[in-house]
Amino acid sequence: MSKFTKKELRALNFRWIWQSQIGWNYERMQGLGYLSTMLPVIEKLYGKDAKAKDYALRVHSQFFNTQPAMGDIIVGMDIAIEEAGGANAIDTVAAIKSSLMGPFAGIGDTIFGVIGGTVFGSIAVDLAVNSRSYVGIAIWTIWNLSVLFLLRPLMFDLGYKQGVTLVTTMAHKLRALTEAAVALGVMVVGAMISTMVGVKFGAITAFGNTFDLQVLANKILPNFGAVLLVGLCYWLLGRKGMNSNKLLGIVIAIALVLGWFKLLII
Amino acid sequence: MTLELWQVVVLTVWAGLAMLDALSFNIGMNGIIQTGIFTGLIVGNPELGLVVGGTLQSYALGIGTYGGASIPNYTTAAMFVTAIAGGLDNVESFITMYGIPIATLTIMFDVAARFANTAFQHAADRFVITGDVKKIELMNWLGTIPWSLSRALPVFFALAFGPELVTQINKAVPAQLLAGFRVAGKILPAVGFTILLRYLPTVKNAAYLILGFVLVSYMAVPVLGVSLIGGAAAILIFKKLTESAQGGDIDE
Repeated sequence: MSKFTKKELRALNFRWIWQSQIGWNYERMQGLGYLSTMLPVIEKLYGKDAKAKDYALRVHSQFFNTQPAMGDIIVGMDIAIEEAGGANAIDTVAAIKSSLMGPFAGIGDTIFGVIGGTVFGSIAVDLAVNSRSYVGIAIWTIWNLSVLFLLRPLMFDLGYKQGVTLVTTMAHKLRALTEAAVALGVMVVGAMISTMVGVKFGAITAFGNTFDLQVLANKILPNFGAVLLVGLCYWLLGRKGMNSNKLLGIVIAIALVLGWFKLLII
Repeated sequence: MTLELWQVVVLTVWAGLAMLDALSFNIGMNGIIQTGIFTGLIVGNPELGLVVGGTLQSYALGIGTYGGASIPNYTTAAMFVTAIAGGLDNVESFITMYGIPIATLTIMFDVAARFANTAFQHAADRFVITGDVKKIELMNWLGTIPWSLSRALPVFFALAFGPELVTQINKAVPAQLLAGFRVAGKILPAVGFTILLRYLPTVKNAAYLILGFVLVSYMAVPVLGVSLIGGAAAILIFKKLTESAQGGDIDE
């Protein structure tokens, strides 16, 4: 017997979507958002039991951080478990939260980051910059809206209905989905290296002759310069003490120096 | 070009609200391209916003805020560059000369917001002890203030004082350096892609990287087409893995 109506559950899902990160802070990250999301549940289940309520408030203020959409599943599970087990289930829930948030973040960042950020982002960038078209950003927006109105409610319901069993039944499916998303993402990056990384060599003059380096590069490989630069960046980023902001600086410096001497041109 | 006061106000408010959307509903208000287009509409040149946003988005394709890390704020950069560029001429050099510094300098506002919210966290901890549920929720909601200010303030200052500064700098920059900045604008997407390739298991998926490259470089397939082929590959991979797998734990 359910203690929450469908409407209340939808409202709780919405609470998580809205509140999960507005109070994000370095100390507990999404912990405050999680606690705030759970407040109506705590009131409903333990409102009359001061000791249980106090315990639930403390436990749900613990550190929490995951990919927000994957958090829908965890919140759904949590509500179902506490609804069935009451105050005795709070410790179980705390263990589930802390054991799932890490792996779920990894899966969610890969699936949502790669599909949303990389695939739809790449299509939008390609059409915006190379064709001056709004179609790509429209497609991306449709994806964003689908995640918000279809996928996230679905994930919440999945967590609520299946509870912990979901983790065992879904584990290999989630892993398969992650691997599939990675292959798609990597392929799109391969495409974007060709279209967006515009490395074009200039000419050098030596011994009275002028050599057009770009003509030479084209003989080796189309977009040879782009491949070379991405290879260099990949190698640099793997080195100790290197980070993405330093890499950004290095690439700008390369562009300024080689651009000044017209070794790289537009 | 200088902006009217109403334009600065509208863009400042948008920046603050868009950040809240990025934290929650994520319909894309805070997206780099979307913000560019919106700014373009406000300054009367949406296509400029589309191109500026698209170019800056290409630098950020591989970069997500994984695990709460702060990343360059290309959204603010898109607003600023779209607002000051005045037109599509020389837009590449504007993007790198002003967009990149703004994107990196404004990282500190993001850090400040995440730090400021610890104060609300501590206040909430006190209400946990007293069991004051309404106040706990209020503390969470108050987090919206540092978050929206972290985007609204840099946009306001940049738009209010930036254009004059930009005019001064443009007069002083030699042509060769400008050429260098334009080159930088063209090659910078490499950084974002590399970050993504380092984040993903690229070596294991090298075949798909090569395939994506070949489809565009040798066969001129549009990116949308490559995405569809990649989607087909993803379906096959998913089917193969789910048919063969006998359960197992999440091991990532």
